[in-house]
Amino acid sequence: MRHPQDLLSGYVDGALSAHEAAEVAAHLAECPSCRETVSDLRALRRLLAAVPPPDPDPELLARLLQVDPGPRRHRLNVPRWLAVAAATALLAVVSARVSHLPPASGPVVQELREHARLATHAPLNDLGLASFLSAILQEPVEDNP
Amino acid sequence: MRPLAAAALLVCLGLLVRPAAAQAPSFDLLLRAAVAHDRVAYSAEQLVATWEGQQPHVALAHVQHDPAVGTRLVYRPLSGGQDRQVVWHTADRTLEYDPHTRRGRAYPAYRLQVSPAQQLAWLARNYSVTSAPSHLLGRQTARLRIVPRQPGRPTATVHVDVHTGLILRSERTSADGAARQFSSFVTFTPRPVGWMRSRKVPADLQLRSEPTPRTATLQHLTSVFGQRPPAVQLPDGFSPVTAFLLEDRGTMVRRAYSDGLTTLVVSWRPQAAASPPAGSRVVYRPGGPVWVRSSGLRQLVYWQYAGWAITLVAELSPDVLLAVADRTGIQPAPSTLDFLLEWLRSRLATDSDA
Repeated sequence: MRHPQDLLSGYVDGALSAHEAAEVAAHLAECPSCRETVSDLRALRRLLAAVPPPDPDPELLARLLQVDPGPRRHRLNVPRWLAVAAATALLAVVSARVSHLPPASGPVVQELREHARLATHAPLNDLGLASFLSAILQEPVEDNP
Repeated sequence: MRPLAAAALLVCLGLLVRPAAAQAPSFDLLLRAAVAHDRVAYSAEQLVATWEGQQPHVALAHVQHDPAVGTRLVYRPLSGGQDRQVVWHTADRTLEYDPHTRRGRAYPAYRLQVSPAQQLAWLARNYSVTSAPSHLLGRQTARLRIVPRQPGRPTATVHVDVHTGLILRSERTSADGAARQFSSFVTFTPRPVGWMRSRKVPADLQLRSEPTPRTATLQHLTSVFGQRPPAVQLPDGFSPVTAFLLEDRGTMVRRAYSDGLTTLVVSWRPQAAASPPAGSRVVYRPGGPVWVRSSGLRQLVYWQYAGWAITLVAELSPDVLLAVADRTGIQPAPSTLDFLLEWLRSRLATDSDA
């Protein structure tokens, strides 16, 4: 294999296909010259990674703010108090539509157990099954609401 | 109950519901099934199962019953996640405890205000009952199929021992067929009445006694809460089987209703002392939010109205219970604007006080 100069940078960046990377690796095992090139490329990569990003020009923001946006279109000349009132009214309308539900944390086991206990008195209810429906509703005695 | 008294009761019940018997040929057997536990002593092994969605709870229960003493049930779970449980039913209370830890609860027994005959009359009105001969455990039984006349109610099948009147197998399926309960005796041995008189409740149990609910009139409830609980517009065919019960040191009112087969329990709490049931989902109705929680065949529905939080638990479809909430009235959920106005009111009140 001739010197794969055009593939060495990609090899360092891990951008080659598996087949190409295998061929380059096999060549590097036998070619001190290419190994030296790869070593230089890796050193350069580390050096570039260590360079901090440049700070923006301190005058950049001022220049950006001075850019003329061009002629404004459809600009409404609304008094500030009217804008505030409209925004408040909109907020009130939206708030009135947004409902707040209480958290679902109420007792369930207690309600189901009471139903099972009362159902044991139904004339065709099976006592063994009805008692089971109550007994399987287990929770620590201390936590019983 | 003494045999003579039981026989007299049977005769009286038969006279009471004779018109219904003409419509349902198996009604006499239903009457015998309703009072069989007052007459027959036995021991049995019973398979019980209920489904919570796709999750089955299955147990084998060792049942000992004596009308003179009560019923003792020992549940051995056959599905995971459950501990062994012992349940004792006596005339005046029910005990539930873990036989290993010896800890559990003691409940006072509820007293219903209606007779089994009255409830069976409701059953005949709300369900159609058909009977067919069958055999179970080598015994002659009648297979009763109980089908609701109105949508949203469960369908039941029970196998009644012709000789004793005991229900040897029972199956109940929700209206949509998605949930069901099942129980079946796998062994059955008749015993003489009084055979459990030597059985005693263990003395070393650590039981937490649940408070005894107090019967209350509407006037009493009004005096306790300052207002009476709103009337709940129940589905057709449900009638009260208990009076108003004031529970948990006066923070809750409860009442049970029956259509003859299923039980519907309504609980009222002052709204400020309540919150929606854990794990429930919100359903937005035209009047406001309603919370729904399923537990197998049973549905739990919660909503707020007129300063009260109302909870229904019944073996009815969610649609039927949501319609109850619609008819009764639902309080809309408070909005951000409501919170803002309440805050402003409180600020104004504070400023005026200062």
